[in-house]
Amino acid sequence: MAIVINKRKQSGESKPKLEEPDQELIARFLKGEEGAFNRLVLSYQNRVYGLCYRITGNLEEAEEVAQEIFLTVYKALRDFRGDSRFSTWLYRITVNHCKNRMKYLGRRGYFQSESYDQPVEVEDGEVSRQIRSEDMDAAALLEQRETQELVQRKINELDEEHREVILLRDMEGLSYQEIADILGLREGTVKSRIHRARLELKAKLEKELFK
Amino acid sequence: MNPSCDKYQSLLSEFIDQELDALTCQEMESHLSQCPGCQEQVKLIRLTCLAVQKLENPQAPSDFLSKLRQRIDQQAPEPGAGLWRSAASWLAAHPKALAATFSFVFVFAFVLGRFAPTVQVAKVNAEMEPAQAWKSAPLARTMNKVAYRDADEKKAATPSIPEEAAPQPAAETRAPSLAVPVSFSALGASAPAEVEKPRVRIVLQTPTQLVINLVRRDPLFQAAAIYPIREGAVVQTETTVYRITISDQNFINALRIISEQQALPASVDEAVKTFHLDVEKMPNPLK
Repeated sequence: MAIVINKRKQSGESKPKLEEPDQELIARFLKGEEGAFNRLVLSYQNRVYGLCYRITGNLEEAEEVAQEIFLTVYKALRDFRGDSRFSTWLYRITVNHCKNRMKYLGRRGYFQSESYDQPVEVEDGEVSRQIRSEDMDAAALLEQRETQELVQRKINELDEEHREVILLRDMEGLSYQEIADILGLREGTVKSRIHRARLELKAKLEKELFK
Repeated sequence: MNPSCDKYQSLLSEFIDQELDALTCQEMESHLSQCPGCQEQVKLIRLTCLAVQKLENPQAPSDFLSKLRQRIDQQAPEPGAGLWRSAASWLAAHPKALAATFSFVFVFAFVLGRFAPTVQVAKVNAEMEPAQAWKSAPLARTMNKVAYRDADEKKAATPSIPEEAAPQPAAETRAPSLAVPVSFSALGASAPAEVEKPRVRIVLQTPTQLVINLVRRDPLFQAAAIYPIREGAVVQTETTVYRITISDQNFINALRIISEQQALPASVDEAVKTFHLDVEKMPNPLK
C-alpha cells in the first residue's frame, strides 16, 4: 500500500504562496484601507473556520469563535510586529481562542451536537465497513461522510494538546517548526507530542475502523 | 517485535513526515524491511494521518464577512480615539520624541508659569504684609464665587431644554441662541468624544448648527455624510443628496418654538413642517 502524505492539503481556498500579499494587505489596512482587511478575512476565513470546527466539533461554535478571532485580529493587527508570518500569528490566535472557548464550554457542561459530517444512521451506530490496512481504496472510504463523522468524534475524544497538534500537522499541513511557533513549544516537544497524538488516535480508530 | 524496535517506534512519526536525517532514515528503512511489526505500525499511523487529512472542512458561511463587519462597526472607536492611539503608539516607538515632548511641555509650562498673571499676583501678595497676603486667599475665593455666579446667571439667561423630558421651569429667550442639553445616544456614529456623558449641551447659534443637529437626530440619516453650508447643510446618503436650509426669519421663529416646546423635533420631516426648512433633493451623483 502506498499512501502519500500530502504536505499541504487544499482546504477550500488557495493558500497564499508568498507572504508578501499578506504583508501588503496589512500595510494597506494600517493606512486606513478597510477593504484590505476584508480581503485578508476572505483569504483566511475558511481555514480558520474549518480549524475551529475541527477543534470544537460544532458548527455554531466554530462560527462564533471564528468571528471572535477576526475581531481580535482587527483590533490587534496594529501590534502585529511581523517577526513571524501572519498565518502563524493567526493560527496562534485561533488555537488560543478555541482553547478558551472549550474551557468555557467545558465548565458549562456543554456537549457538542451539531455536526457537519452529518451522522448517518448505521447499524450498531458505527460505520458498517471497516478498513483493512491492505485496502487499496482506503482513501475513498475515508472520504465518506460517515467515516469522517467517526474520525471527528475520535478527534474530539483526544486530549486538547493532542487534538491541536494533530490538526495543525495533518489537517493544516504545517511544519514542526511552524507548530512550535504557534504553540510556543520547542520543536522536540512538538515532535514527540505529534507522535503520541497519532498513537492515541490510531488506537481509537483501530478498534472501529482499521481491522 | 524485537528489542531494537523500541528505538525505532518512537521515530515512526518523524519517518512518515520525512523529518529524519538521511542516516537515521536509512537505518529505519533497513529495520522496517526485517520487522513486520514495525511495518504494520507505519501503515496504521499513515492511515491515521490520512484519516485526518481527508477530513473535508466546511466552508465559512457566506455572510461571515458581513456579520464580522457589523460587529466591527458596533465596536468602532469614537472618532479621534484612533488619532490619539496612533499618536501614542508613534511616541512609544520613538522614545526620543517622547522625551522631547516631555521637555517641551516642561519648558513651556515653566515659561508660561513665569509670565502668568496669577504668579504675578502671588508675588505681589508675598511682598505685602504677611497678614494681608494670607487674607488674599479668601478674597480670591470670593471673587471666584462672583465669577461663578455671573456664569450661572448667563447660563440661566440661555434657555436650557431637556430632551423629551419634563419641561424645566420656563426661561425666557434673551438671545437668539439656544443651548440644548441632549443625549448623544441618538446621534449615531458621528457623536463626539463625550459619549459617556449622559447629557451634552448643544449650542444652536446658527442655521447651520440647527440643521446639522436636526439631521443628526433623524435615524433616517444615521449613515449620512453631513457637509455644513452657510444656511444649513448638505446631507448625502447612499442614494440621495439633500440640501437642507432655513431662512433667517424661519430660523428665529424656530428658536422661539424650541424654547417654547423645550424640545427639538425628532425628525427632519417634522422639522420641515414646524420650522419650514427648505429641502432640495437630487439623486446621489456618486452612486
